[in-house]
Amino acid sequence: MTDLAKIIDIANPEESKVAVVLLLDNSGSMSENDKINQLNKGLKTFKEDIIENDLARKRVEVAIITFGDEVKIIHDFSSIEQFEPPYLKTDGLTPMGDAILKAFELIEERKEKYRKSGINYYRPWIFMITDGEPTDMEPGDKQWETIKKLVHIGEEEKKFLFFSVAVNPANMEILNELSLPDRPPVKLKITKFKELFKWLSDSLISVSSSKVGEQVALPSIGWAEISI
Amino acid sequence: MINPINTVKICHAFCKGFWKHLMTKGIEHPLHLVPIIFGSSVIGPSHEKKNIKCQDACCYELLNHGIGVIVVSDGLGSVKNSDIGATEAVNAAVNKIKEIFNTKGIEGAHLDNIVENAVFYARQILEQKADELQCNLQDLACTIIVVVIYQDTVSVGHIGDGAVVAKIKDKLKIISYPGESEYVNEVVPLTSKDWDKHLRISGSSEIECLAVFTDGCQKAGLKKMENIWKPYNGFFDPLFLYAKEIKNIKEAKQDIINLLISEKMSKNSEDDKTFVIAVLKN
Repeated sequence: MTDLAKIIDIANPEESKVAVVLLLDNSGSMSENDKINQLNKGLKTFKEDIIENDLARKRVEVAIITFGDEVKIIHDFSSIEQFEPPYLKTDGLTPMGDAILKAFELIEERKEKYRKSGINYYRPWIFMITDGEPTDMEPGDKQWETIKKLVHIGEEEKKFLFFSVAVNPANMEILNELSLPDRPPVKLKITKFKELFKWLSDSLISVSSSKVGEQVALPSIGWAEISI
Repeated sequence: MINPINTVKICHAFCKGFWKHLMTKGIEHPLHLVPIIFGSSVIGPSHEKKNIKCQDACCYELLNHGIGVIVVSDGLGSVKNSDIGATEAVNAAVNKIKEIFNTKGIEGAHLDNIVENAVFYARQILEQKADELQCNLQDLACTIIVVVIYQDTVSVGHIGDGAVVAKIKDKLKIISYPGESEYVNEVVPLTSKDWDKHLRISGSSEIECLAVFTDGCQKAGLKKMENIWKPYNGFFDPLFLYAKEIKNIKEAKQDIINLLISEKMSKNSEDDKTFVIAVLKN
Protein backbone atom coordinates (compact mmCIF):
# COMPACT_ATOMS: atom_id res chain seq x y z
CA MET A 1 0.00 0.00 0.00
CA THR A 2 1.18 3.53 -0.77
CA ASP A 3 0.15 6.60 1.20
CA LEU A 4 -0.65 8.83 -1.76
CA ALA A 5 -1.59 11.79 0.46
CA LYS A 6 2.09 12.01 1.43
CA ILE A 7 3.35 12.25 -2.12
CA ILE A 8 0.93 14.80 -3.59
CA ASP A 9 0.70 18.57 -3.22
CA ILE A 10 -2.57 20.48 -3.37
CA ALA A 11 -2.95 22.96 -6.26
CA ASN A 12 -5.29 25.41 -4.62
CA PRO A 13 -5.35 25.25 -0.83
CA GLU A 14 -7.16 28.61 -0.53
CA GLU A 15 -10.70 28.62 0.85
CA SER A 16 -13.49 29.85 -1.44
CA LYS A 17 -14.64 33.35 -0.50
CA VAL A 18 -17.98 35.07 -0.05
CA ALA A 19 -17.56 38.85 -0.11
CA VAL A 20 -20.12 41.11 1.56
CA VAL A 21 -20.21 44.90 1.44
CA LEU A 22 -22.18 46.51 4.24
CA LEU A 23 -23.51 49.79 2.93
CA LEU A 24 -24.47 51.75 6.03
CA ASP A 25 -26.35 55.03 6.30
CA ASN A 26 -24.72 57.23 8.96
CA SER A 27 -26.53 60.42 8.02
CA GLY A 28 -27.65 62.81 10.80
CA SER A 29 -31.08 61.20 11.19
CA MET A 30 -29.55 57.86 12.23
CA SER A 31 -28.76 59.45 15.62
CA GLU A 32 -32.49 59.57 16.41
CA ASN A 33 -34.19 56.80 18.42
CA ASP A 34 -30.87 55.13 19.28
CA LYS A 35 -30.58 53.78 15.71
CA ILE A 36 -26.83 54.33 15.31
CA ASN A 37 -26.07 52.72 18.68
CA GLN A 38 -28.12 49.67 17.75
CA LEU A 39 -26.36 49.52 14.39
CA ASN A 40 -22.96 49.63 16.10
CA LYS A 41 -23.98 46.84 18.47
CA GLY A 42 -25.33 44.85 15.50
CA LEU A 43 -21.93 44.97 13.79
CA LYS A 44 -20.34 43.37 16.87
CA THR A 45 -23.00 40.62 16.89
CA PHE A 46 -22.30 40.02 13.20
CA LYS A 47 -18.58 39.49 13.81
CA GLU A 48 -19.15 37.25 16.85
CA ASP A 49 -21.60 35.00 14.98
CA ILE A 50 -19.50 34.57 11.87
CA ILE A 51 -16.30 33.90 13.79
CA GLU A 52 -17.96 31.07 15.72
CA ASN A 53 -18.61 29.10 12.53
CA ASP A 54 -15.56 27.20 11.25
CA LEU A 55 -16.31 27.48 7.54
CA ALA A 56 -17.79 30.99 7.53
CA ARG A 57 -14.80 32.27 9.53
CA LYS A 58 -12.49 31.16 6.73
CA ARG A 59 -14.74 32.20 3.86
CA VAL A 60 -16.64 35.40 4.66
CA GLU A 61 -14.86 38.64 3.78
CA VAL A 62 -16.41 41.93 4.82
CA ALA A 63 -16.08 45.57 3.78
CA ILE A 64 -17.99 48.60 5.10
CA ILE A 65 -18.94 51.74 3.22
CA THR A 66 -20.73 54.49 5.11
CA PHE A 67 -22.73 57.29 3.58
CA GLY A 68 -23.57 60.47 5.49
CA ASP A 69 -21.29 63.45 5.61
CA GLU A 70 -19.35 61.67 2.85
CA VAL A 71 -19.11 58.30 1.13
CA LYS A 72 -16.28 56.49 2.81
CA ILE A 73 -14.77 53.02 2.80
CA ILE A 74 -14.27 52.75 6.51
CA HIS A 75 -13.22 49.13 6.30
CA ASP A 76 -11.82 47.60 3.11
CA PHE A 77 -12.27 43.87 2.49
CA SER A 78 -10.70 41.64 5.10
CA SER A 79 -11.30 38.30 6.73
CA ILE A 80 -13.76 38.38 9.60
CA GLU A 81 -10.90 37.85 12.06
CA GLN A 82 -9.22 41.03 10.85
CA PHE A 83 -12.48 42.97 10.97
CA GLU A 84 -12.71 45.34 13.91
CA PRO A 85 -16.34 46.52 14.18
CA PRO A 86 -16.15 50.32 13.89
CA TYR A 87 -17.98 52.79 16.10
CA LEU A 88 -20.03 54.79 13.61
CA LYS A 89 -20.92 58.42 14.21
CA THR A 90 -23.64 60.32 12.39
CA ASP A 91 -23.53 63.48 10.34
CA GLY A 92 -24.68 64.94 7.03
CA LEU A 93 -27.08 63.93 4.27
CA THR A 94 -27.73 60.63 2.42
CA PRO A 95 -25.49 60.26 -0.68
CA MET A 96 -26.89 56.79 -1.39
CA GLY A 97 -26.20 56.86 -5.15
CA ASP A 98 -22.47 57.46 -4.78
CA ALA A 99 -22.34 54.87 -2.01
CA ILE A 100 -23.94 52.18 -4.19
CA LEU A 101 -21.53 53.09 -6.99
CA LYS A 102 -18.60 52.70 -4.59
CA ALA A 103 -19.92 49.29 -3.51
CA PHE A 104 -20.02 48.11 -7.15
CA GLU A 105 -16.42 49.22 -7.66
CA LEU A 106 -15.28 47.50 -4.49
CA ILE A 107 -17.02 44.24 -5.47
CA GLU A 108 -15.52 44.25 -8.97
CA GLU A 109 -12.02 44.96 -7.61
CA ARG A 110 -12.38 42.10 -5.14
CA LYS A 111 -13.55 39.66 -7.81
CA GLU A 112 -10.61 40.68 -9.97
CA LYS A 113 -8.27 39.98 -7.07
CA TYR A 114 -9.84 36.56 -6.54
CA ARG A 115 -9.55 35.76 -10.24
CA LYS A 116 -5.90 36.81 -10.39
CA SER A 117 -5.05 34.74 -7.35
CA GLY A 118 -7.05 31.73 -8.54
CA ILE A 119 -9.43 31.89 -5.56
CA ASN A 120 -12.92 30.44 -6.04
CA TYR A 121 -15.75 32.67 -4.88
CA TYR A 122 -19.47 32.81 -4.28
CA ARG A 123 -21.77 35.52 -5.58
CA PRO A 124 -21.00 38.67 -3.52
CA TRP A 125 -23.55 40.49 -1.38
CA ILE A 126 -24.31 44.20 -1.12
CA PHE A 127 -26.31 44.79 2.04
CA MET A 128 -27.62 48.34 2.50
CA ILE A 129 -29.23 49.77 5.63
CA THR A 130 -30.78 53.25 5.42
CA ASP A 131 -33.31 55.38 7.26
CA GLY A 132 -33.71 58.03 4.57
CA GLU A 133 -33.88 58.70 0.89
CA PRO A 134 -31.03 59.55 -1.47
CA THR A 135 -29.98 63.17 -1.48
CA ASP A 136 -27.61 62.82 -4.45
CA MET A 137 -30.22 61.53 -6.91
CA GLU A 138 -33.96 61.39 -7.47
CA PRO A 139 -36.14 59.32 -9.79
CA GLY A 140 -35.72 60.49 -13.36
CA ASP A 141 -32.33 62.20 -13.08
CA LYS A 142 -29.15 60.89 -14.71
CA GLN A 143 -27.54 59.57 -11.53
CA TRP A 144 -30.78 57.76 -10.58
CA GLU A 145 -31.03 56.06 -13.96
CA THR A 146 -27.37 55.00 -13.82
CA ILE A 147 -27.65 53.55 -10.33
CA LYS A 148 -31.00 51.84 -10.92
CA LYS A 149 -29.66 50.27 -14.12
CA LEU A 150 -26.53 49.07 -12.32
CA VAL A 151 -28.57 47.43 -9.57
CA HIS A 152 -31.02 45.79 -11.96
CA ILE A 153 -28.47 44.61 -14.54
CA GLY A 154 -26.07 43.56 -11.80
CA GLU A 155 -28.76 41.38 -10.23
CA GLU A 156 -29.99 39.99 -13.56
CA GLU A 157 -26.45 39.13 -14.66
CA LYS A 158 -25.77 37.63 -11.24
CA LYS A 159 -22.90 40.00 -10.52
CA PHE A 160 -24.02 40.38 -6.92
CA LEU A 161 -27.04 40.14 -4.63
CA PHE A 162 -28.47 43.51 -3.60
CA PHE A 163 -30.40 43.68 -0.33
CA SER A 164 -31.85 46.86 1.12
CA VAL A 165 -33.17 47.29 4.62
CA ALA A 166 -35.29 50.32 5.46
CA VAL A 167 -35.30 51.81 8.95
CA ASN A 168 -38.10 54.25 9.78
CA PRO A 169 -38.62 56.88 8.25
CA ALA A 170 -36.91 55.57 5.08
CA ASN A 171 -38.59 56.26 1.75
CA MET A 172 -39.92 52.80 0.86
CA GLU A 173 -41.28 53.94 -2.47
CA ILE A 174 -37.84 54.96 -3.72
CA LEU A 175 -36.18 51.83 -2.32
CA ASN A 176 -38.84 49.69 -3.99
CA GLU A 177 -38.13 51.31 -7.32
CA LEU A 178 -34.40 50.82 -6.89
CA SER A 179 -34.63 47.14 -5.98
CA LEU A 180 -35.61 44.16 -8.08
CA PRO A 181 -39.24 42.99 -7.63
CA ASP A 182 -38.12 39.59 -6.40
CA ARG A 183 -35.77 41.11 -3.82
CA PRO A 184 -37.72 44.09 -2.49
CA PRO A 185 -36.57 46.25 0.44
CA VAL A 186 -37.56 45.03 3.88
CA LYS A 187 -38.65 47.39 6.63
CA LEU A 188 -36.84 46.81 9.91
CA LYS A 189 -38.64 46.94 13.22
CA ILE A 190 -36.81 49.73 14.99
CA THR A 191 -35.67 47.57 17.92
CA LYS A 192 -34.58 44.59 15.85
CA PHE A 193 -31.08 45.55 14.69
CA LYS A 194 -29.56 42.63 16.61
CA GLU A 195 -31.93 40.16 14.94
CA LEU A 196 -31.19 41.73 11.56
CA PHE A 197 -27.44 41.12 11.94
CA LYS A 198 -28.08 37.65 13.32
CA TRP A 199 -30.08 36.91 10.15
CA LEU A 200 -27.27 38.30 8.00
CA SER A 201 -24.60 36.16 9.69
CA ASP A 202 -26.82 33.03 9.58
CA SER A 203 -27.46 33.64 5.87
CA LEU A 204 -23.78 34.04 5.10
CA ILE A 205 -22.99 30.91 7.12
CA SER A 206 -25.48 28.98 4.92
CA VAL A 207 -24.09 30.42 1.70
CA SER A 208 -20.46 29.84 2.64
CA SER A 209 -21.08 26.15 3.29
CA SER A 210 -23.06 25.59 0.08
CA LYS A 211 -21.71 23.34 -2.61
CA VAL A 212 -22.07 23.18 -6.34
CA GLY A 213 -25.67 23.32 -7.49
CA GLU A 214 -27.05 23.90 -4.06
CA GLN A 215 -30.04 26.22 -3.75
CA VAL A 216 -29.44 28.07 -0.50
CA ALA A 217 -32.55 28.73 1.55
CA LEU A 218 -31.99 31.88 3.60
CA PRO A 219 -33.34 31.91 7.14
CA SER A 220 -36.81 33.36 7.61
CA ILE A 221 -36.93 37.06 8.37
CA GLY A 222 -38.03 37.65 11.93
CA TRP A 223 -36.92 41.24 12.14
CA ALA A 224 -39.19 42.83 9.57
CA GLU A 225 -42.24 44.97 10.11
CA ILE A 226 -43.84 43.40 7.08
CA SER A 227 -42.78 39.94 5.96
CA ILE A 228 -42.28 39.94 2.22
CA MET B 1 -13.51 16.77 -34.22
CA ILE B 2 -14.24 13.16 -35.05
CA ASN B 3 -11.73 10.51 -34.10
CA PRO B 4 -11.76 7.93 -36.87
CA ILE B 5 -10.43 4.77 -35.39
CA ASN B 6 -11.48 2.41 -38.11
CA THR B 7 -8.12 2.85 -39.77
CA VAL B 8 -6.19 1.98 -36.64
CA LYS B 9 -4.84 -1.54 -36.64
CA ILE B 10 -6.35 -3.54 -33.83
CA CYS B 11 -3.45 -4.95 -31.90
CA HIS B 12 -5.04 -5.91 -28.60
CA ALA B 13 -5.30 -9.64 -28.26
CA PHE B 14 -7.30 -9.96 -25.08
CA CYS B 15 -11.00 -9.51 -24.85
CA LYS B 16 -13.40 -8.99 -22.00
CA GLY B 17 -14.47 -12.61 -21.96
CA PHE B 18 -10.89 -13.74 -21.57
CA TRP B 19 -10.29 -11.20 -18.81
CA LYS B 20 -13.47 -12.26 -17.00
CA HIS B 21 -12.27 -15.85 -17.22
CA LEU B 22 -9.03 -14.85 -15.53
CA MET B 23 -10.92 -12.95 -12.82
CA THR B 24 -13.14 -15.93 -12.00
CA LYS B 25 -9.97 -18.00 -11.56
CA GLY B 26 -8.84 -15.43 -8.99
CA ILE B 27 -6.21 -14.03 -11.29
CA GLU B 28 -5.66 -10.28 -11.26
CA HIS B 29 -6.09 -8.05 -14.29
CA PRO B 30 -2.91 -8.64 -16.31
CA LEU B 31 -1.03 -5.42 -15.70
CA HIS B 32 1.11 -5.69 -18.82
CA LEU B 33 -2.04 -5.14 -20.85
CA VAL B 34 -3.44 -1.66 -21.15
CA PRO B 35 -5.51 0.29 -20.38
CA ILE B 36 -5.28 -0.27 -16.64
CA ILE B 37 -8.11 1.56 -14.90
CA PHE B 38 -8.69 2.07 -11.18
CA GLY B 39 -10.33 4.58 -8.87
CA SER B 40 -13.39 5.22 -6.76
CA SER B 41 -16.01 7.62 -5.40
CA VAL B 42 -16.02 8.47 -1.70
CA ILE B 43 -18.40 10.41 0.51
CA GLY B 44 -17.23 13.87 1.62
CA PRO B 45 -16.98 14.93 5.26
CA SER B 46 -19.90 17.38 5.00
CA HIS B 47 -22.28 14.67 3.76
CA GLU B 48 -21.00 12.21 6.32
CA LYS B 49 -21.72 14.70 9.13
CA LYS B 50 -25.25 15.34 7.83
CA ASN B 51 -25.90 11.62 7.21
CA ILE B 52 -26.47 12.28 3.49
CA LYS B 53 -25.59 9.57 0.95
CA CYS B 54 -22.57 9.93 -1.35
CA GLN B 55 -23.83 11.87 -4.37
CA ASP B 56 -20.84 11.03 -6.58
CA ALA B 57 -20.79 7.87 -8.70
CA CYS B 58 -18.34 6.24 -11.08
CA CYS B 59 -18.29 3.19 -13.31
CA TYR B 60 -15.42 1.89 -15.43
CA GLU B 61 -14.99 -1.22 -17.53
CA LEU B 62 -12.63 -2.88 -19.96
CA LEU B 63 -14.38 -4.03 -23.13
CA ASN B 64 -13.22 -6.14 -26.03
CA HIS B 65 -10.23 -5.05 -28.10
CA GLY B 66 -8.65 -3.15 -25.19
CA ILE B 67 -11.33 -0.49 -25.15
CA GLY B 68 -11.66 1.27 -21.80
CA VAL B 69 -14.70 3.17 -20.57
CA ILE B 70 -14.82 5.54 -17.61
CA VAL B 71 -17.92 7.47 -16.56
CA VAL B 72 -18.09 9.72 -13.48
CA SER B 73 -20.94 11.84 -12.18
CA ASP B 74 -21.47 14.32 -9.37
CA GLY B 75 -25.01 14.58 -7.98
CA LEU B 76 -25.82 18.18 -7.15
CA GLY B 77 -25.75 19.60 -3.62
CA SER B 78 -29.02 19.54 -1.76
CA VAL B 79 -31.08 17.98 -4.59
CA LYS B 80 -32.97 15.14 -2.93
CA ASN B 81 -32.36 12.25 -5.36
CA SER B 82 -29.10 13.38 -6.94
CA ASP B 83 -27.33 10.25 -5.64
CA ILE B 84 -29.80 8.19 -7.69
CA GLY B 85 -29.33 10.52 -10.67
CA ALA B 86 -25.55 10.13 -10.59
CA THR B 87 -25.68 6.34 -10.29
CA GLU B 88 -28.30 5.99 -13.04
CA ALA B 89 -26.33 8.32 -15.34
CA VAL B 90 -23.02 6.44 -15.06
CA ASN B 91 -24.63 3.01 -15.47
CA ALA B 92 -26.69 4.16 -18.45
CA ALA B 93 -23.67 5.68 -20.22
CA VAL B 94 -21.52 2.57 -19.72
CA ASN B 95 -24.33 0.27 -20.87
CA LYS B 96 -24.90 2.34 -24.00
CA ILE B 97 -21.21 2.22 -24.92
CA LYS B 98 -21.11 -1.55 -24.41
CA GLU B 99 -24.21 -1.93 -26.57
CA ILE B 100 -22.71 0.16 -29.37
CA PHE B 101 -19.46 -1.82 -29.43
CA ASN B 102 -21.32 -5.12 -29.13
CA THR B 103 -23.57 -4.40 -32.08
CA LYS B 104 -21.26 -2.44 -34.34
CA GLY B 105 -17.86 -3.71 -33.27
CA ILE B 106 -14.81 -1.54 -33.45
CA GLU B 107 -14.68 -1.27 -37.23
CA GLY B 108 -16.04 2.08 -38.28
CA ALA B 109 -16.55 3.25 -34.73
CA HIS B 110 -16.20 6.96 -34.08
CA LEU B 111 -15.30 7.57 -30.48
CA ASP B 112 -16.70 11.11 -30.46
CA ASN B 113 -20.08 9.88 -31.68
CA ILE B 114 -20.05 7.11 -29.12
CA VAL B 115 -19.46 9.39 -26.12
CA GLU B 116 -22.10 11.79 -27.44
CA ASN B 117 -24.61 8.95 -27.75
CA ALA B 118 -23.77 7.80 -24.24
CA VAL B 119 -24.49 11.25 -22.76
CA PHE B 120 -27.79 11.49 -24.68
CA TYR B 121 -28.77 8.05 -23.44
CA ALA B 122 -27.89 8.95 -19.83
CA ARG B 123 -30.18 12.00 -20.12
CA GLN B 124 -32.96 9.78 -21.54
CA ILE B 125 -32.60 7.33 -18.66
CA LEU B 126 -32.79 10.18 -16.13
CA GLU B 127 -36.06 11.34 -17.72
CA GLN B 128 -37.44 7.80 -17.43
CA LYS B 129 -36.24 7.53 -13.84
CA ALA B 130 -37.92 10.82 -12.94
CA ASP B 131 -41.22 9.43 -14.31
CA GLU B 132 -40.73 6.19 -12.44
CA LEU B 133 -40.00 7.95 -9.15
CA GLN B 134 -42.66 10.58 -9.89
CA CYS B 135 -40.22 13.34 -9.12
CA ASN B 136 -38.95 16.36 -11.05
CA LEU B 137 -36.09 15.75 -13.43
CA GLN B 138 -34.18 18.40 -11.44
CA ASP B 139 -34.35 16.14 -8.37
CA LEU B 140 -31.92 13.86 -10.21
CA ALA B 141 -29.55 16.71 -11.17
CA CYS B 142 -25.99 15.60 -11.80
CA THR B 143 -22.93 16.29 -13.95
CA ILE B 144 -21.42 13.67 -16.27
CA ILE B 145 -18.03 12.89 -17.80
CA VAL B 146 -17.89 10.02 -20.29
CA VAL B 147 -14.48 8.82 -21.43
CA VAL B 148 -13.78 6.16 -24.07
CA ILE B 149 -10.21 4.95 -24.45
CA TYR B 150 -8.82 3.08 -27.42
CA GLN B 151 -5.08 2.49 -27.60
CA ASP B 152 -3.55 5.92 -26.82
CA THR B 153 -6.59 7.90 -27.99
CA VAL B 154 -9.52 9.14 -25.93
CA SER B 155 -12.81 10.91 -26.52
CA VAL B 156 -14.64 12.76 -23.76
CA GLY B 157 -18.27 13.88 -23.48
CA HIS B 158 -18.77 16.28 -20.60
CA ILE B 159 -21.52 18.36 -18.96
CA GLY B 160 -20.84 20.34 -15.78
CA ASP B 161 -17.72 20.58 -13.68
CA GLY B 162 -14.95 18.12 -12.91
CA ALA B 163 -12.24 17.54 -15.53
CA VAL B 164 -10.04 15.11 -17.45
CA VAL B 165 -6.28 15.62 -17.25
CA ALA B 166 -3.80 13.61 -19.31
CA LYS B 167 -0.07 13.14 -19.54
CA ILE B 168 1.07 13.48 -23.14
CA LYS B 169 4.76 13.41 -24.07
CA ASP B 170 5.72 14.08 -20.45
CA LYS B 171 3.48 17.15 -20.21
CA LEU B 172 0.16 17.59 -18.45
CA LYS B 173 -2.82 18.67 -20.52
CA ILE B 174 -6.46 19.30 -19.61
CA ILE B 175 -8.43 17.32 -22.18
CA SER B 176 -11.80 18.39 -20.83
CA TYR B 177 -12.24 21.51 -18.70
CA PRO B 178 -14.76 22.23 -15.93
CA GLY B 179 -17.87 23.94 -17.35
CA GLU B 180 -17.69 27.71 -17.21
CA SER B 181 -19.29 29.34 -14.18
CA GLU B 182 -18.19 32.42 -12.31
CA TYR B 183 -19.25 31.29 -8.88
CA VAL B 184 -18.12 28.28 -6.92
CA ASN B 185 -21.65 26.99 -6.19
CA GLU B 186 -23.02 27.18 -9.75
CA VAL B 187 -23.06 24.51 -12.45
CA VAL B 188 -25.17 23.45 -15.47
CA PRO B 189 -26.23 19.82 -14.93
CA LEU B 190 -27.28 17.05 -17.32
CA THR B 191 -30.88 17.65 -16.22
CA SER B 192 -31.01 21.34 -17.24
CA LYS B 193 -33.33 22.46 -20.04
CA ASP B 194 -30.57 23.43 -22.48
CA TRP B 195 -28.20 20.65 -21.43
CA ASP B 196 -27.31 19.72 -25.03
CA LYS B 197 -25.93 23.23 -25.64
CA HIS B 198 -23.55 22.64 -22.77
CA LEU B 199 -22.32 19.24 -23.95
CA ARG B 200 -18.63 19.45 -24.75
CA ILE B 201 -16.92 16.78 -26.82
CA SER B 202 -13.15 16.69 -26.83
CA GLY B 203 -10.37 14.25 -27.45
CA SER B 204 -6.67 13.67 -27.65
CA SER B 205 -4.06 11.13 -28.71
CA GLU B 206 -0.62 9.95 -27.65
CA ILE B 207 -1.80 9.76 -24.05
CA GLU B 208 0.32 7.95 -21.48
CA CYS B 209 -1.98 8.35 -18.45
CA LEU B 210 -5.16 10.19 -17.64
CA ALA B 211 -7.26 11.11 -14.63
CA VAL B 212 -11.01 11.68 -14.60
CA PHE B 213 -12.39 13.45 -11.52
CA THR B 214 -15.36 15.30 -10.10
CA ASP B 215 -15.54 18.75 -8.56
CA GLY B 216 -14.46 17.51 -5.12
CA CYS B 217 -10.91 16.98 -6.48
CA GLN B 218 -10.84 20.09 -8.65
CA LYS B 219 -9.14 22.41 -6.14
CA ALA B 220 -6.54 19.74 -5.44
CA GLY B 221 -5.59 19.17 -9.05
CA LEU B 222 -6.26 22.41 -10.92
CA LYS B 223 -5.29 26.04 -10.55
CA LYS B 224 -7.28 28.83 -12.18
CA MET B 225 -5.06 31.82 -12.78
CA GLU B 226 -6.31 34.83 -14.74
CA ASN B 227 -9.35 32.76 -15.71
CA ILE B 228 -7.26 29.98 -17.26
CA TRP B 229 -7.31 26.49 -15.77
CA LYS B 230 -3.98 24.74 -15.41
CA PRO B 231 -3.23 21.21 -14.22
CA TYR B 232 -0.93 21.10 -11.22
CA ASN B 233 2.22 19.03 -11.58
CA GLY B 234 2.61 18.68 -7.80
CA PHE B 235 -0.65 16.75 -7.75
CA PHE B 236 -0.70 14.72 -10.99
CA ASP B 237 2.97 13.84 -11.55
CA PRO B 238 3.34 11.69 -8.42
CA LEU B 239 -0.02 10.00 -9.06
CA PHE B 240 0.73 9.15 -12.69
CA LEU B 241 4.19 7.91 -11.74
CA TYR B 242 2.63 5.72 -9.07
CA ALA B 243 -0.06 4.46 -11.49
CA LYS B 244 2.55 3.24 -13.97
CA GLU B 245 4.22 1.15 -11.31
CA ILE B 246 1.30 -0.49 -9.53
CA LYS B 247 1.55 -4.21 -8.94
CA ASN B 248 -1.95 -4.94 -7.68
CA ILE B 249 -5.06 -3.22 -8.98
CA LYS B 250 -7.17 -3.85 -5.85
CA GLU B 251 -4.50 -2.28 -3.67
CA ALA B 252 -4.23 0.63 -6.08
CA LYS B 253 -7.97 1.25 -5.83
CA GLN B 254 -7.72 1.18 -2.05
CA ASP B 255 -4.80 3.64 -2.22
CA ILE B 256 -7.02 6.03 -4.19
CA ILE B 257 -9.83 5.65 -1.65
CA ASN B 258 -7.38 6.35 1.17
CA LEU B 259 -6.14 9.44 -0.65
CA LEU B 260 -9.67 10.75 -1.22
CA ILE B 261 -10.66 10.35 2.43
CA SER B 262 -7.30 11.65 3.73
CA GLU B 263 -7.16 14.76 5.90
CA LYS B 264 -5.19 16.56 3.19
CA MET B 265 -8.00 16.13 0.64
CA SER B 266 -10.87 16.55 3.12
CA LYS B 267 -9.42 19.83 4.35
CA ASN B 268 -9.27 21.07 0.77
CA SER B 269 -12.86 20.12 -0.08
CA GLU B 270 -15.67 18.85 2.13
CA ASP B 271 -17.50 17.59 -0.98
CA ASP B 272 -17.85 13.98 -2.23
CA LYS B 273 -14.90 12.99 -4.40
CA THR B 274 -14.33 10.76 -7.40
CA PHE B 275 -10.94 10.07 -8.95
CA VAL B 276 -10.23 7.45 -11.62
CA ILE B 277 -6.84 6.88 -13.25
CA ALA B 278 -6.17 5.10 -16.55
CA VAL B 279 -2.72 4.01 -17.72
CA LEU B 280 -2.71 3.82 -21.52
CA LYS B 281 0.98 3.12 -22.10
CA ASN B 282 3.23 1.07 -19.87
